Parts: sequence; structure tokens; C-alpha cells
Amino acid sequence: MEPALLMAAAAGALAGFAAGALPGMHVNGLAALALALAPQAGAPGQAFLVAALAASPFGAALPATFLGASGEEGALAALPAHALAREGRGVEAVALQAWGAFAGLAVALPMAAAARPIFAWLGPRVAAWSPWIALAILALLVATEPARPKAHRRALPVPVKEDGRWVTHEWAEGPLSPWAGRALALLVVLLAGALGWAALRLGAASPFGLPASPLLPLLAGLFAAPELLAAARSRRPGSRAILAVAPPRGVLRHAAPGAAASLVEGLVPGVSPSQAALLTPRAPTPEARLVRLAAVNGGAVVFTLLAWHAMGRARSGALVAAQAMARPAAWSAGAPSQAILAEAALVVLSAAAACLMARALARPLARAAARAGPARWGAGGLALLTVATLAFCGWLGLADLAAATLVGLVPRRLGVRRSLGMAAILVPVALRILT
Amino acid sequence: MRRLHPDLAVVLVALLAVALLAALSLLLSPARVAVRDAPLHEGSRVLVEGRVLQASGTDRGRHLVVADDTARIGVVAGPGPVPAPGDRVRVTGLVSRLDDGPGLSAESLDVVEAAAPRPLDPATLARAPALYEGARVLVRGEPREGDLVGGGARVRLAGLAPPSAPGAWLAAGAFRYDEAHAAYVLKVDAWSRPS
Repeated sequence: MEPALLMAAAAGALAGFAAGALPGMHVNGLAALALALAPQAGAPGQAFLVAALAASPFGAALPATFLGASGEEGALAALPAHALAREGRGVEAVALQAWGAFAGLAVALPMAAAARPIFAWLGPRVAAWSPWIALAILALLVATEPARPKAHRRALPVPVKEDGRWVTHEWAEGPLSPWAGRALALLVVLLAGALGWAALRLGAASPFGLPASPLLPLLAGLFAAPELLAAARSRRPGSRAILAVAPPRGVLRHAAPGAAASLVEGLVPGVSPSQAALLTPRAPTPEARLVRLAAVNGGAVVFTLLAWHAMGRARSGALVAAQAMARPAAWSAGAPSQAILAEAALVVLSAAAACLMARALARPLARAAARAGPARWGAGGLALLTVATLAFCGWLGLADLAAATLVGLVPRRLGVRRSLGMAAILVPVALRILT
Repeated sequence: MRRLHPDLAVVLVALLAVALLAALSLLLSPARVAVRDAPLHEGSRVLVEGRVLQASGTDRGRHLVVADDTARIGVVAGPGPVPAPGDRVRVTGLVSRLDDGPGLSAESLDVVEAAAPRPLDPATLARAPALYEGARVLVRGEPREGDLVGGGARVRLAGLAPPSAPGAWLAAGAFRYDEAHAAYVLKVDAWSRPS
């Protein structure tokens, strides 16, 4: 392999990791910058962007864990990761995500070799499926809502006095509770869907000319801000940071379903890794769930590249920029070419380097979070999200952030799954059925 | 007066916030962006202006490829009049991932200026071939040794053989990348003398 390509890939891995780690930045923004600065970069430019694409999920594990904020790729993984961080287990959460993403990528590579003929045959036929897949995921989310609200009014055997008043009835679970849970889930889906429709329609524009996307305030408000608000209001003392991490067990086993789900992301246009993550089966523990969700992001890198080479379809902004710099190698039949094998090697090396970077940075961040305590860390995180939103998305982004935060509080109050907030992205996609 | 249940209050405030955001999105027009920057606004509503390179339509909808001076982008729109290649159009729509990469799912599509049937120069094609890939073009130049020459540049020819008479000719055909030749090729289906 040429030294120029290796150097470009090393720089790409570093830049992609940084783009993932900085709230508001995204690998697509980095791609635009690279294309503007070096439109004729050729094969080294392409290697830079492919390496950046491979490294960005590892960088994204840091804000997901310590702020609960993430891009669209890690929106779901941010929930269990931030929950572990609040217990002082941030280092472990980052390690699980790094291992999960790397395992997902490693498992997806042989899967991709087997899936190439399927991609070539099925790819053009499923182009219009994404709205139906989004609708199916929404239906699945509502139908499988586990909340069981107390929907039945029952007479107490003996009246009790509460706050100076006699209480004769109580609310309890019953046969209607599963349906009440689904109704509440549907309410959250509709609310988040309307929010997503409005925020995406409104768009975003950076006052500093930075690449803007309303997804930053939308996802930060839905998933991160409610957690940070709760932390900021907390009077608990900070928990000690647990820096030791047990050696991974069953990572490949937990990662495999995630990697398999990411196949949909490469195959069907418009399906993002977080949507594909909703298709993964439930994991037995929060740790296994984190590995599984992170594996979707690792696998998505491989299947996005497979769609690029086998179908000539650039599914991400980074690959659109990469193909403007140099023509991608085609993989239409038989074994992959030397160029594709070299690219696969660069992807694995970049991911491995980014995995190590994430692990190395997790410790100082966990120590800082423990020192600050939940209240100061929460307030600081909220301030950082606000500043990032203002810089990348302007005042319209702040309006999105405020509305999304209010909607993000609803699942907590109603006791339903917070992942229902993903309807903000799924509903606008599903609405394309109507057009 | 009975106090509102706190859970209900949170739902109502969230509903109000979403309604306000929706009203704002209906009142404000989207930002105008260059075609090259459109993929960076994935998920956002944007406005782009450019000329139509390719256009097709059925009773289910229209598909266009639109380019400005910076890049090209696919546009899908609902059924309606199909603009002609060369028309200058203004498209407002959501940046989405279409089958062939990031593209625009159009809400509105207006022809700003109808196409002038002006032929292209081989130099224009040679300068930014990727912009015209897949487009049907009309090119003016002199056929020479399997190429169409003009404006200090040459474009490789395929398809219908060039006429033997010397001088300038108009070649109509599809411009695309040819894997076998590892070069952009103009596949000509008609030759005519410029008027």
C-alpha cells in the first residue's frame, strides 16, 4: 500500500474521530470541508474520507456517554451509555461501545462479502422501501411498548386519609394497562413525529457558515437535554469514577445481531443506523444492549461502503465527497479487487486506532465528570449543547432545542420508552408514502 | 380551582412548543444553498437553483438531475409538467437520501428560465465532465480521430460514426463515463450541420 494513502488514512482517522467527538460536528461536515479545500485530492483524499467514516462512531461514543448527546448514528446508544456514566461507569460505557463498534465492523466484513450479490440484485428493487420500513419500525415500537400504566380504578377495602381527605379508590394495573401503555407510546410518537416534521422543515443555518443540520438540536433535545436537566437539578454527590473495566465477554455474540441489522442501512436508501438499531432484538442486559447498538454503527460503515462499491450508491455525505475526488472501485462480480481489499484494511486499521483513542480519552473525561459532580456536569453539558447548537444551527436551532427538550421530557413523565423519541426522524421518512 | 396534573402539564407544554415550531416552519422560507452544499443539510429544507441535466416523468412523479456551477443533485418531485433539459429551475425541498445518494425530495419545483437550444463546447464538457455524466447533450465541434474537438479540448466519441465531411458539426447524444475506456465518452445518436 502506498505511504501517501496510509498517511491520508491516519489523518482521516484522527479527523473523523474528532468530528464524532465534538457535539455538533459530523463526519459529513468534515467531508464538505475536505472537498472545499482539496477537490482534486484523488485517491489519498478518498482514503482520508473513508478512514474518517470508519473512525467517527468511536469518537461519537464520548459525547454519547458523558453528555448523553450524539449524532443520529448513536442517538439510541446514548441512552444506556449515559445511564452507566451517571453511575460512575463512563469508562466501561465507552469501552463497551468501542468494542461493540469494532466487533460490528469485524463481523460485517465477511457478511459483506456474502451479501454483495444480494445487494447487487435487491438494491435497485428496494429503493422505495424506506418509508414503509420507517412505518413498520414505528408500528413495532408502539406495539412492543412495555409500560403498564395503572389504568383501572378500584375501590379500597378500607378508606384511607391522605392530605386531610378520605381516599376510597386507587389506580391499579389491569387488562387495559398494555393498551394504555400503547396509547401513551402512540401519543409520544405523534408528538415527536410532529416535532421532527416541523424541525426538519424549518431547517438550520449556522451564523458562522458551518455545516448545519437540525438533527443536532433535535436529537440533543430529545435524548440528552432531559438527562442533563435532571442531573443539573440533582442534589446527589458525584459518584466515584470506576476506571477499571472487566475484560469483554460475549462481545462478538452480542454484536452479531447489531451488525446484521446494519445491513438494512446499506441496502435501503434513507435508513439511518439509528433506525436500523431499532430492528435489533432486545439484549439481556444494558451492557449487552450497548454493545449491540454500537455494533450497528460499526456494521453500518461496512455496508455503506458495500453499497458504494457494489451498487455505485453513496449513502453518506462523506462518500459523496469521496467520489467527487476519485472514482470508487466497482465490485460487480467475483472477488473484490485489490483496491477494495486495501480499503477494507484501511477501514479496520482506522477503526482500531479510533477504538484506542476512545479508550484513552474516556479515563480523563470520567475523572473530570466525577470531580464536577452531577449538578455541575449537567449544567456544563447543557451549556455546551446550547453553545454548539447556536454555533452550528443559529437561533432556529435554539428554538428546535427548546421544543425538543420539552418533548424529550414527556416519555420520562409518562413512563414510556425514551427511544420513542426516534419518531422525530421516522415519521418524516414515513410521511413520504403520501407523496 | 383544580390544579393540572404535572404529567398532563408537561404534555400540554410540549404540544404547545411543537405547535409554535410548526407555525414558525410554515412562516419562514428555507435557506438557499449551492448544490454542492445541499448534502450537508441532510434532513433540512433548502432551496437550490440550477439547470436541468436530465428529466423524466411518469404519472407517479418526476425525477430530475439538476446542476449549478458547483455540483449536480438528484431531485424527486410529485407528478406534474416535466421541465426540459437546460431549463433553469428553482427547487424547494427536503434533503434526503435518495437511491443514488443525497438528493432533494421536492415540495415545489418552478422553471425560472426556459432552456435555450444552445450547443455546448467540448471544452465545457472536458472542464467538469462529472457534472454532465448521464446527461443528454448537444455539442458543437470538429470530429477528428475519434474525438470531437473544440475550444482547445477534445471529447472521445462513440455510437454513430462521425460524418466524413470536414468542418464543424453538431453531435447529439448521451455523455457518460465508460469503464472500458476509463474515460468520459459522448455516445452520439445524431449528427447535423450547425445552422
